[in-house]
Amino acid sequence: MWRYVCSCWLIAVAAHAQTTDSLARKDFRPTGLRLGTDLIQLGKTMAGSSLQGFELNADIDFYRYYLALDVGQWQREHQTLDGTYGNNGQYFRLGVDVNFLTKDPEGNMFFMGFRYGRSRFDENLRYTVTDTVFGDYTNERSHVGLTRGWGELVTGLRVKVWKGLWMGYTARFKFAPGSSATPDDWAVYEIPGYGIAEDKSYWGFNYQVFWRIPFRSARGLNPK
Amino acid sequence: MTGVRSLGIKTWRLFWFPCLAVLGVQCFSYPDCVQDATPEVNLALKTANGSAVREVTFTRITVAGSAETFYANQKVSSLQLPLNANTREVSYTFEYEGLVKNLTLFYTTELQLISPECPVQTYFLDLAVVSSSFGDGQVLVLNPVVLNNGAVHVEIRL
Repeated sequence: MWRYVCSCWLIAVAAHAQTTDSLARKDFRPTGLRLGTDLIQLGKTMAGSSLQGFELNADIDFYRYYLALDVGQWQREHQTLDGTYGNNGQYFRLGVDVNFLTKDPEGNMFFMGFRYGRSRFDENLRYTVTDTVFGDYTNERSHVGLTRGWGELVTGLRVKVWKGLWMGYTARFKFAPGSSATPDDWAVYEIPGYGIAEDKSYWGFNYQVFWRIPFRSARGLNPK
Repeated sequence: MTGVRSLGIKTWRLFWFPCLAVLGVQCFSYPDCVQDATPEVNLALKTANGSAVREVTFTRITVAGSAETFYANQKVSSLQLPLNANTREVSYTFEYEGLVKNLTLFYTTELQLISPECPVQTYFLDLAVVSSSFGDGQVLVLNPVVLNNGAVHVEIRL
């Protein structure tokens, strides 16, 4: 249900933005590099969640287009109902965002874009089966060095809060995570940066804080 | 005055950004524990030509690797028998009406963790007859994927 609510909300915001913005004079020279991190991931890690990791985000502007790169580390240990599950890996996302607020004097962004994500990870599963017929047993499976890629449609905001400090969020519609099949009999459970592999589409959300390093001033954009 | 207005806008931004974060977090949830895997194969008993249901009184049914007996002195027309997730074959011995018949089934398994809140599910796939003493063509695999949906997986004609 929440998926549909989020979808409707994003579509409504997008439609509003498209009707109120207009193109400014094109200047494709970059004006600054924005570096940031995902506070949700950081908060989970500091709170001792089963998910430990971090994500670093960067983007650079070329007029209303932004080249965006995210890199992350992900380590998860779950106590499952009948054992333990562990996952450890790294991921990156590379893509382009398009800013729809081209006339904002501070360069605030409402953007939509896409990403290609790729992850390399290990995972292991240990579980105990209660079998009244053949007897109880404990089993263990491991996957080492798996790689999976996926696509993302993204939208969100970047807002200048103070001097070079920016905050923002990114909603991600992730899709096409690749096959969950493996050479052995255990299907991939979780892909770092994506989520549960069996879900062919997935919503993700980042709440981010950035620091912008200005290269030069630009018309309609305060470099500080 | 400009400073106050500016501060007001920034305070507002700091307020609604966390609200959106909370909204975003609501989009996540673990999938439901759909228990569609089962370690039991459903067998239907039919007459020799397969046209009608056959009721059989079993003395007992035993499974290799287990000391348990099943359907001892019971008259039934369908069976639910266990599959062993630790092997790729399971052999059953049927004792009924003074006869002793054997059936060995092959299968592959696939493990799936659906959520940490669910047990690991073992799916039994590619069900096939390895050997049978019921006679040629008398044991048919109707559904090679064993799911907990009430479907008949194997038909025995006797």
